[in-house]
Amino acid sequence: MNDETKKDSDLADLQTAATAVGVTIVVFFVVYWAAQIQSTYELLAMAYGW
Amino acid sequence: MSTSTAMSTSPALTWGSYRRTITSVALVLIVLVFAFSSARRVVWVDLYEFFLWMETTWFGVIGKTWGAAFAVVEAFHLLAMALLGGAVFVADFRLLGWSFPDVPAQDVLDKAHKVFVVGLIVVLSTGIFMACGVAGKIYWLPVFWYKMLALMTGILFVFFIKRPLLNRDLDEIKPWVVKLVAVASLLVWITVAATGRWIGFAGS
Repeated sequence: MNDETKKDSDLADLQTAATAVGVTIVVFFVVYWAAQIQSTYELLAMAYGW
Repeated sequence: MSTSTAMSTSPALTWGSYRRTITSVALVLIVLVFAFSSARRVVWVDLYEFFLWMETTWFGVIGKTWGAAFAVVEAFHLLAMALLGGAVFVADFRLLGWSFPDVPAQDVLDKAHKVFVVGLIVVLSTGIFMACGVAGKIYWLPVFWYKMLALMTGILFVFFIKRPLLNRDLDEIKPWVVKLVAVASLLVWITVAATGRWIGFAGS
């Protein structure tokens, strides 16, 4: 494999890894914060009788 | 190269070319299996003795005995978090095109990363001291474990994915990948900061 091909291959690997991990992180933390906001809302609703 | 040779080497070449992707996906799967299996509870129970030991160390004794010492270390911890957070916001907002549009992205990223590393070192060293002082409390707080998960994810993401990727010429990288990396980075570090603050509000 020549240098140019290896460089392209490394970049493709990095971009694929970044996409896989990035999507996992975004999905996980969006779900986490949605659950936290929901539970906080329910606690406030119970406390103030909304 | 003959056709048969090319066919026999292609799969190995392909798998070898995606080493970082395979490692990352394997790590994510291991964490998910750990999180949703009984292994998580077993490890958590086993760690109790370690957390009790943390409170008996010099850090633990100083942190519990002298509130002023704990407060001073906490002040440096918060200042370092501000430094780290500032570096993350500057770099990721630049990647999203929201800040410093006239400054070359690579300049902003390199300088922000140096500040980030200093902030991270101070955050980790002061964080270990503080954890020893309140080990008996944080062990029981789910938010502490979420913070540790976010922190480990953030550190691995920065040094294993983000930096190696952004060290390349940004024009070679797909724009949506750059933006995805910035959003993921912001989410992780905001979670680290918010859950850390949450520990302070949580009861013992």
